Amino acid sequence: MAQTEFLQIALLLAILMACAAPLGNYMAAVFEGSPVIQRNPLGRLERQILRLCGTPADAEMRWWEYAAALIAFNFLGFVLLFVILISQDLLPLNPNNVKGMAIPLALNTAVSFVTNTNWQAYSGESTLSHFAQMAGLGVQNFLSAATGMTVAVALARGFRRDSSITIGSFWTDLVRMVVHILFPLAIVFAVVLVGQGVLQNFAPNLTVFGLNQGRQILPMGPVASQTAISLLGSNGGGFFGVNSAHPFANPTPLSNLLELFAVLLIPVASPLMFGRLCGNPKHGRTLLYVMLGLFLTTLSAAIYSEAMHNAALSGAASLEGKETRFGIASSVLWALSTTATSNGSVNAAMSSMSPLTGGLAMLNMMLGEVVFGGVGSGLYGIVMFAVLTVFVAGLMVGRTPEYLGKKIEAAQMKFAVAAVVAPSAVILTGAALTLSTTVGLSAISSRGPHGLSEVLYAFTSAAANNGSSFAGIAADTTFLNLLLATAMVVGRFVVIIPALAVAGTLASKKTTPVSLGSFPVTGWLFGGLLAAIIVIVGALTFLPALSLGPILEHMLMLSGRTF
Amino acid sequence: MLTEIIRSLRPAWRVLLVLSALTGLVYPILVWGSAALIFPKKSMGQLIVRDDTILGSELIGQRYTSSAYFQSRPSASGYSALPSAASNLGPTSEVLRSDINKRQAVEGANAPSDLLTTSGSGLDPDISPEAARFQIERIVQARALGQSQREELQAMVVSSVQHPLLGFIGKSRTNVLELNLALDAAFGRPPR
Repeated sequence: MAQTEFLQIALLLAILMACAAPLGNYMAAVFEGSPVIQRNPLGRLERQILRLCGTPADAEMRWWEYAAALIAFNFLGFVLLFVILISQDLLPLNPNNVKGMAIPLALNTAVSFVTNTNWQAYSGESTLSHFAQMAGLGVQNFLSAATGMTVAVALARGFRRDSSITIGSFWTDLVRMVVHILFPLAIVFAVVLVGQGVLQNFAPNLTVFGLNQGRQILPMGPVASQTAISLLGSNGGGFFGVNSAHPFANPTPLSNLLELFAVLLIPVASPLMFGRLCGNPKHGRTLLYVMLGLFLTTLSAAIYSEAMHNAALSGAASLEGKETRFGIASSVLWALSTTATSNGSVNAAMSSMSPLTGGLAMLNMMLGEVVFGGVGSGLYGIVMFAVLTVFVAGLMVGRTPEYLGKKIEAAQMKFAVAAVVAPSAVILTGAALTLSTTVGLSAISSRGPHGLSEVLYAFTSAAANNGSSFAGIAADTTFLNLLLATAMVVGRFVVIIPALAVAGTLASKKTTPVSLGSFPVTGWLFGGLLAAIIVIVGALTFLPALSLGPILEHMLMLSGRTF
Repeated sequence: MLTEIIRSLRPAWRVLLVLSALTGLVYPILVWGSAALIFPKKSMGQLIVRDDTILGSELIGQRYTSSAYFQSRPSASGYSALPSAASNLGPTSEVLRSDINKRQAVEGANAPSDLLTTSGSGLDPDISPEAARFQIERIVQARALGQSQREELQAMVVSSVQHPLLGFIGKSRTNVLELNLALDAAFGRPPR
């Protein structure tokens, strides 16, 4: 691996770290309703939207009201998207006359975008109209990301508020996330992408004649606007089936670097926002360092693994599924960044990477999508692990565990454990169901341990709301469409609802001042313990499954076996 | 809980419609408008036109049937763009092994690995500089070029290389369509 490729990774991380603090502070100010931000033009837009919707900005909600509003909003979002997908042939902006989507596939796709998963069992360029892309999927790219952030913000209020029965207004948090953060970032980023060569038009497919009988039909459409928000919002559902491997979605090495930056930006800034919102910026930094540490560990292992000689294919295969302009290191960096952040887009074929790279990408998701994680979701995910950590620390020293001035008791522990364990249960149950039925087995395309990896990857990606695809599996079957849709819904809400419950029950508690006896939630000791708990929970749950998939395939590859 | 959800449906519906209008219509149209103003050619896909026919896009790889042209990488979709596709063959796939062996038999034992493998999109517009150099001899023979023309071609291949930005962002690569256009411009179009 050339040194220049490490330079690129170092540059990316340096720029991200430089942007994390300002953006984190800005986001905290947005959600606190800071007067400076309320006075700018976006503040006016926010107030106009809230007035139009008839939802007062200061309508405080109890945690179950907040959760109910979130569920109602997501349910209607699902219905609207589902209707758009099945009736796209009757709607405007369909220059290529694509047909309405089949019902099981539309159901899967609608669930996938509403839950911020963006699993794609279809190829956008040949099955979707421009309208369905931008006004259907594009809308949920914004709204599912904003939904995730509302939960993280509500959770921060749970820690900050003293003896309060409410945790803020879902509608206000949602509108603020869209108007002040996602909307301006996406506009700027989309125009920058067009400058690199990403398409943005509403034209029909274009037939080109080729220099030497290479006739082609090129897809056209509003690609830049879709790609920008799908990356910024940790959605990942590309305009094209191959996402950001497609030269029209990611044309240059610079666009690749910028897209990676967009993938990581909000997830990296979120812990700092959380730290400020709950009044302990240092805790936010500790959370960020834990995430960064875990990320660098899996990334280095993957780069090392990808550079290994493939005895089975006499070493020639390391470029299989990769684009010339990106090369190996950028492809691995992308794979690990998008699985860490719940983004799930690809810039190279995941299935063709080395077995351990695929396994590490899976591990990123299996750790509960908390190594940065999705917009909002990574944060509330890691806070659930932090609750577990202070509880374990409390047990070790024999004190009532305290987290940011709040006593952690049985109620919070039940919710936190549910949020930590449930997604894993969904992954293993779904994979087991698929592997033990004929209809499930028939979807597998690879033989040997790679076939197991396909199934495990699909359910991990769905339950962790990542959407990344180990694309060999034939995902567009009624069986898999429905089972994976279920995994996505359960994987999303089984974490969101307990997280809001923790927020609500914590908000109602009295804040106890930090004393010498409190376990510190900043610094190396806490960070190390938190990282250990994340890894132990993930490893204990998934080591057997990973051994039979990627690890076994790695051993067989080294001995030159093919299937 | 259920009654709470039902009570929330009315505000949810209004917020959904208003935000859909903002993010689903205003946003893409705003991006489209600014892009059409600032980057008119790029927003349309950097099309290449010769003699009034659109030959293709600079960004999208295509297939060349004649051996008098530089060849693109193998493609899992056969350079069809509807839809784009990768092979998705895994590192222990027997199919991939035999595909690579077959390509090696055609291209020669020391062919660069990008000429033996398919790309992530099936539409890779580039080949590595080694892959371009590797094809020079074949083109010299197919086009019956003389010694001075061979040197001209070699210089053309060298100058066609796009280097990494700032020396470390991306990989050195050669755009196949641009190189082939330059080839036609220098030595004429081969007989059909």
